[in-house]
Amino acid sequence: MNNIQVALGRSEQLPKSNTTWNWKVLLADDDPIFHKIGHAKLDGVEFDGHQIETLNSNNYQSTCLFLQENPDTALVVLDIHMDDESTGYKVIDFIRNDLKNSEVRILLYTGDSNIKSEESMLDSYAISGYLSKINSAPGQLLTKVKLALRSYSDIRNIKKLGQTNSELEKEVAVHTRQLLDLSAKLQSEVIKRQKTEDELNNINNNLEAEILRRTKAADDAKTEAIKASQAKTEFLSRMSHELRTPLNAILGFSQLLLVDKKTTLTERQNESVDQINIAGKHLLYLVSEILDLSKIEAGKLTVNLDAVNVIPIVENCLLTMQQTALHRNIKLEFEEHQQDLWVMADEVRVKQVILNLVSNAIKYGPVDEIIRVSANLTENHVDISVIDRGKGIDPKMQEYLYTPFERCKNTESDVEGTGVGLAITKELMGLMNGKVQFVNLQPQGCQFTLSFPKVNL
Amino acid sequence: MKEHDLSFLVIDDDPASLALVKATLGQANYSNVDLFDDPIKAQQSYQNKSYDILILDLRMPLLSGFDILKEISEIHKTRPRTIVLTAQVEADSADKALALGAKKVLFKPYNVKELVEEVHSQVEALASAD
Repeated sequence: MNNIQVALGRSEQLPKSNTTWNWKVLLADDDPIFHKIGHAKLDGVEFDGHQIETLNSNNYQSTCLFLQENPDTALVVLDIHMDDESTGYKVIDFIRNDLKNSEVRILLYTGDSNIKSEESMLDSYAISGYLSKINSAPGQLLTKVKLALRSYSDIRNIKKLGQTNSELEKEVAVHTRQLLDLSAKLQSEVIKRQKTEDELNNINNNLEAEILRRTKAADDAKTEAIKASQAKTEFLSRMSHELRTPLNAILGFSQLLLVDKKTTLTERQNESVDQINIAGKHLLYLVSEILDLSKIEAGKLTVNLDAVNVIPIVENCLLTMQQTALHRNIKLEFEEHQQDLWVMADEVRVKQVILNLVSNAIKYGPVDEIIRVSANLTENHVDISVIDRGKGIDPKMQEYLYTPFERCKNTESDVEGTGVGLAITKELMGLMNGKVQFVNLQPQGCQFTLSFPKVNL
Repeated sequence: MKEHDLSFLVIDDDPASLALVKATLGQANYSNVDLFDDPIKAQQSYQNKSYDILILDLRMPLLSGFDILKEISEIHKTRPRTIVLTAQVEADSADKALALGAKKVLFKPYNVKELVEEVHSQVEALASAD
C-alpha cells in the first residue's frame, strides 16, 4: 500500500452542480515523466467553462483505489503496461464490471508499438479513445482528452435528465396516487350519500303515502260529516214543511169553529177550541223555528231590511205575550216612549227576536215577578233590553248560550223549548247588522239586549 | 151571473186541507165547489170545464200545482183566477206561482179569514172584468 501515490490536493473541488468544479482527469501511468507531460499539457486547461485537473496513479492498485474513492472522475488516461503488460485491461475490467462505472471515460495511452489499431481497441474495450505515445501528433492528447470530456459531459447530462425525468415520474406517481386516493374517497362518499338519499327518498315516499292516506281519511270523514249535516238540514226542512199541512187543518178548523156564526158552542167547547188554537200556534212557532235553523245551516236565511219603528213592534210583542205571562203571574212592563225609534231591520224578524227574548224570560224566569222591557237610543244604535229577576245564567254555561239544541245543558229542565231560539236570534241580529248581548245582573236577574242600527229619518 | 153561483175548483192532495177549503167556502156561502185530492182527475175536469176560481196546492204527486198553472193558462184565457195555498213558505215558490199566473199565494197554515177575503177580492175582480 505504500506505493500508492495519489495526488488529492484539489479533491475537495468535486463536480457539484452549484459549486465551481473541475474536470477530474486521472493520469494512470508507471512513468513519472508522462505524469509531468500530462500535467503540463492538460492541467488548468479550460473546457466548457471548467478547468481540467490532473491527478496521478502509477499501478493497478492505486488506480483502482482512486477511482473507487472518486466516482466523479471524468477521464482516466490509462497506460496499458504498468504492473504488467495487461494492467490497463484489468483496470478497464475493474471500472466497468466491479465499480459498474459506465460514466468515466477511458483513454488508452500506450508506448507499446505492438498494440492493435484504435478501431479494433474500440471494438474490444469500453473505451472512448486510444492514443499511441510514439505515433501521436503533438496536441492530439489534448484533442482526445477534450473529446472524451465532451462525451463524459453528454453522458452526465443525459443521466441528469433521466434522473429529473424519473423524479418527475415519481412526483407524478405520487400525485396520481393522491388523486386516485381522493377519487376513491369521493367515490365512497358519493355512494354513501346516494345511500342516504335513497333512504331519505324512501322515508319521503312513505311519508307522502301516509299523508295521502290520512288526507283521504280526513276528506272522507269531512264528506261524511257534510253529508250527515246536509241530511239533517234536509230533514229539518222537510219536517217543517210536512208539519205545516196537518197544522193547517188543525188551526183552520179551530178558527172556523170560532168564527162560524151558525155553530153555537158552549163556553167549555169554546175554551177547548181556544186551547186547540193556542197549541196549534205554538206548534207552528216551533216548526218555523226549526225551518229557520235549517236555513241557517244551509246558509239560506235571508232578511229584508227596511226602516222600521221598533216601539209599536215592542208593544205588539208584549200584547202577544200578555196571556202567557199571566199564566205565571208575571207582569210585563214597558216604559212609554213619546219618541219613535227607527232602525234598519226586517219587521217580521224584529218581532221574532223580541218575542224570543220575552218568551225566554217568561219561561225561565221566576213566577210572580216583573219583566221589564226598555228601548234606548245610543249614538248609532237602538237597544231593546229584556230584564228579568231570575237567578241568571251559570257562567260556565254562557258559552253555549247561542249554540243550537244546547239549552244550557238543561235537558232535564221541565221548561219546554227546542233550544234553537237564541241561536236563531243571534243569526238574525247578525243578518240585520245588529247584535245580541247578555249580562248577569247583581244581586240577581239577567239582561238580554238587542242592538239595531239606528236610522235617522 | 150571481156571485154565489161561481164555480170553484179546489185541488190538494191532502184531504183535510180540501175539507177545510170546502168548509171555509161553505161558510162564505159558495157551494158550487169541485174538490179533487187527485190532480190527474182534476186535470180531466178542468180540461172539459171552465172554472171561475181555482184554489190550488203546489206540491202534489204526478202533477204539480206549477204544471197545472201552466196547462190551465193555455186552455183557458181569462179564467180561472187562481189562489195558491202552499206549505212551501219560500219566496221563490210563491214568485214562480205568481209568474205562472196565480193571483195570490197564501202560506199554510193560513188564516181562514184571510182566505175568505182573498176569495171575495177575486170574485170582485171577475165581476169587474165581465
